[in-house]
Amino acid sequence: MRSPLSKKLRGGWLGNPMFALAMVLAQACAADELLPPDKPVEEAIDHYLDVRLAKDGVTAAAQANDANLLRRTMLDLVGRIPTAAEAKAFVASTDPGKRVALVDRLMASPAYVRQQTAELDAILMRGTNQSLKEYLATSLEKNVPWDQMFREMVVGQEGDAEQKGAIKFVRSRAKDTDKLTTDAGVLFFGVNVSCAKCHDHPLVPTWTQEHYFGMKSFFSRTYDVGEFIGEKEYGIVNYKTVQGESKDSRLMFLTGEVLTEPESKEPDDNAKKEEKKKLEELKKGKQAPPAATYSRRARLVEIGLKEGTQPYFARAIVNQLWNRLMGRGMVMPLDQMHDQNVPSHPELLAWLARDMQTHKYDLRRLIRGIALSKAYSRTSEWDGSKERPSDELFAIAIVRPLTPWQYGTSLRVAVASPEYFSSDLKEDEFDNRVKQMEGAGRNIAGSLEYPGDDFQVSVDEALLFSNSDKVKNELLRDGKEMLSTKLTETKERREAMDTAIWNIYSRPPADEELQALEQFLHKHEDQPAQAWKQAIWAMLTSGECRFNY
Amino acid sequence: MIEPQYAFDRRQFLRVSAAGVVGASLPFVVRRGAAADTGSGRAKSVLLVLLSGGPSQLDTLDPKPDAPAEVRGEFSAIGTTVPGVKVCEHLPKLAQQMGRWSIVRSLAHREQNHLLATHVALTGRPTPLPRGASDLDRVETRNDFPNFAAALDFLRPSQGGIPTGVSLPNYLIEGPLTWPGQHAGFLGTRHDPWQIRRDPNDPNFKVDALSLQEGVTVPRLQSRRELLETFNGGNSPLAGSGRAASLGEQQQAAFSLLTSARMATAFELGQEPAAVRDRYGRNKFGQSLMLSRRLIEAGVPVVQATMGIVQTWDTHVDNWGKLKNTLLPQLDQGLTALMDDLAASGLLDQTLVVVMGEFGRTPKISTLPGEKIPGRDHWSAAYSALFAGAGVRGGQVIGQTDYKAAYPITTAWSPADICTTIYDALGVSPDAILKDPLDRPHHLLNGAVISPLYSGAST
Repeated sequence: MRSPLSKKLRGGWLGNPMFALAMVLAQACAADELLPPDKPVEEAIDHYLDVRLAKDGVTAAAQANDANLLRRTMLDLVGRIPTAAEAKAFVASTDPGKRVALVDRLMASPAYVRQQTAELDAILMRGTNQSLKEYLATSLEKNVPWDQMFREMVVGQEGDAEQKGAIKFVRSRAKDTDKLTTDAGVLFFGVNVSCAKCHDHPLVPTWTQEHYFGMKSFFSRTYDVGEFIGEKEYGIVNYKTVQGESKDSRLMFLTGEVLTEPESKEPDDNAKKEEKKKLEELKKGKQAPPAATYSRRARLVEIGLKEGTQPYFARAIVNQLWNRLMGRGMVMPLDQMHDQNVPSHPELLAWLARDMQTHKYDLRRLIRGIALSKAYSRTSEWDGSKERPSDELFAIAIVRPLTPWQYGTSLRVAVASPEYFSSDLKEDEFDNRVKQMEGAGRNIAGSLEYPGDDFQVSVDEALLFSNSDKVKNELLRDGKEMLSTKLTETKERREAMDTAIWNIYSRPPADEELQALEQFLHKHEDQPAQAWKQAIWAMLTSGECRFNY
Repeated sequence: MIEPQYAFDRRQFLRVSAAGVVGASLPFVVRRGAAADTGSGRAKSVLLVLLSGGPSQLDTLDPKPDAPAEVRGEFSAIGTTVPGVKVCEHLPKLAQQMGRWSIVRSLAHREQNHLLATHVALTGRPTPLPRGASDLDRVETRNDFPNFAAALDFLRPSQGGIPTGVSLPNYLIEGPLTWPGQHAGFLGTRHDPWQIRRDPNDPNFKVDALSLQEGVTVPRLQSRRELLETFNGGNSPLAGSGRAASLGEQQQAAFSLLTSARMATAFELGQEPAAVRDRYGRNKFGQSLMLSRRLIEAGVPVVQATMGIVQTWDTHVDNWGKLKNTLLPQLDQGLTALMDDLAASGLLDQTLVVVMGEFGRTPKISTLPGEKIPGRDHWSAAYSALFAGAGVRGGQVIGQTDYKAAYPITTAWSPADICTTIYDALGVSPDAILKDPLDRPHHLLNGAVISPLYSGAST
């Protein structure tokens, strides 16, 4: 329930539900006209983006330079900036296949799983104060298909009697069916039906109160008992219409499709008492209730993945990942993927959704495809000679705020002495050190909000990074593993300045920067250690360290 | 939950919203010298003393000595300097200062749980999402309406190193529940009030972010700042990015905060003579009120001092013991010292002080299952608050409740009216409009000014 549709669509010219349905069908049927399914993902992406650019008469920005592309790719795939050595090596390499090799190497590393886990967990469990990290880490490592993860999160995993795995998605929200309904709709189907709770959706005529309560019905039999959840086999959602009429809700999916169910009977008072007693016992014994023989949540998974209704599910995850890697979704807002909110690239969305379906909902495949596209590797700098094209064309890379995970880890990597990440280290040891940085990064950035479209910096954050013991003690302390010590001990000033820029910004220094640094260091020559700490501090707080550009 | 995403970008939103406000009339029509019986524009600051958890109206400001025993409670009522006005016996200092205060006894709203009630109390309206089955889903989100400090900061961005809002000494949060109404909601983090999370009564109290590191002087900070400007400058790969520019603006604000001695000094509680600190009471309430006074002296427009944590005033159990042993004596002492100081410095004339909880408590005394000591439960159909300063006429009671303080029997005033009174006192135009994430316009002043505060008409 949050956002306006694009204004031009408000007129209600799509007001007819039949027409809207026809649109959905048209989108599904257009599959024949899509590019062939065997085209590599990145080629399909660039094809459709180029078509739109040509149509709008816009020339895309140039490709980002190697240092920029490496930083962006590493932030997205492994959640941190490159070390100075990694950056220098990538820039120096003349191998024409180095980008593909980079993406494949990063995606095969354990850090990839950790990064994807952190980001997915932040999105899936937002506002619940609980975490799915353990489950996500195992699943992402095995590259479990997204449809299977969906099933496990909504229905539960085999052999998880303790309910400690995927089902925490439901369990953490079981006290509040409305939140569960809304979150499941948003996260798995890209639609937020909560606007239709109290009245028919004001802007989307195809969503009525019946849809809202129909969706709620999938979760209405879920209850929590002690630390566990269970599901009843009876129970109907009753609601009041705007006219004040009382209605029993049918089990209805977003498309309006109503599911038929085995007849359920409300138990009599005695049976209910008996049931309550049993639950109390379970609660006392800290045991989970037995699984329901008929589960409405299982029916949601079934219809969500059914031929014909599946595009909702597939398009939602495509849009979600696209948003994460490209800085905005093809449909914005992410939770308004309905027929009156036209995607920026409808065919591309349809193609990628089909690709998802035909490739077992392989998240890696899409992530790899996006990361290898030309669209992904454009520079974020606009030369200003022409008007800046709209973000929805993806003609220029969108500057994205780092997530707390990326930011915390990157700050730690930036202030580690280059020797700490020496290229002599064994792969395992290197990764262990990275893991330490990831852990330590939580101290610094753990309390920051997960950034959204409307990213802002609070005074609290600005103050934290302008002046605090935390920054001083964690990022600027002395030690042989710390950058500040390394720089102070480096005899040649020019060499030290180069090291600083490569280490923190993952790129070669610019002349103006060297001059400014030189002046600053000169001015504070009497206290070189302090001067370097202050210089590092200034660099760390610059915009470049806060964003993926 | 997915991050709220809006179909327009932030700048557009600001432009649109600002147009809604500025286009109609200047957002800050400060009407000084207005008729004596209004407070419009008279307050430079507002101090909101929040009694979190909901104090009992019967056992504080609206005693009912003639009510039956199961309603009346253990306390007796005492007279004040104003004939006919009685308050609870454990507010003796307040009774002696009644000439400064206006009590409003006919406040009412509909939210019976802490989270929903706190949102309505601190923003003037219910949470934007319909209420659910439990408290859990109405925790603080970025869909919430902005609180006083945040909306004011949106309309009149802070300048010169003084933040628009400072809240202290702790955030209302417990386990998985974070109380809504404490931040800028949909206006975004940059308008959040600045939150202090330290006990001013702690002898080591300091605000880390404002205490310059050892060996770092203001000139040195300035020098670092200049270097930072170079890295943020034209050569940065982010030059031209709106998002990066907004980071720069906030850093500038933080820098002003750091280098402006006014804020840093305000937090140096050691500057207060021991006798003054004693006068406020050497406890969290008293020292928070003293710090609030210092913040108001420094020019902070909205200060919120929370008296305790989430359930401090939530006296389901041992209502009378808690009130008489700690809560009321500490509040009584702290408020008295505060009012003495504000009056002595003349600041009271331009500072609106509001003391309230998110609701009141049930007239009927009850004992929770499994508990032995009785208390009172949540009650929002009638509660009381104190107002003073910035033109508020002291020595009066506004509104009356029935024989057991359950319902107002005169005009009921709502949180929307309190909200309107506060913004009006700060000089915000009645035409000020905020657009929510659905682009719907909301009058920020969504109620009526509680005019008897100024006119004394309903005494």
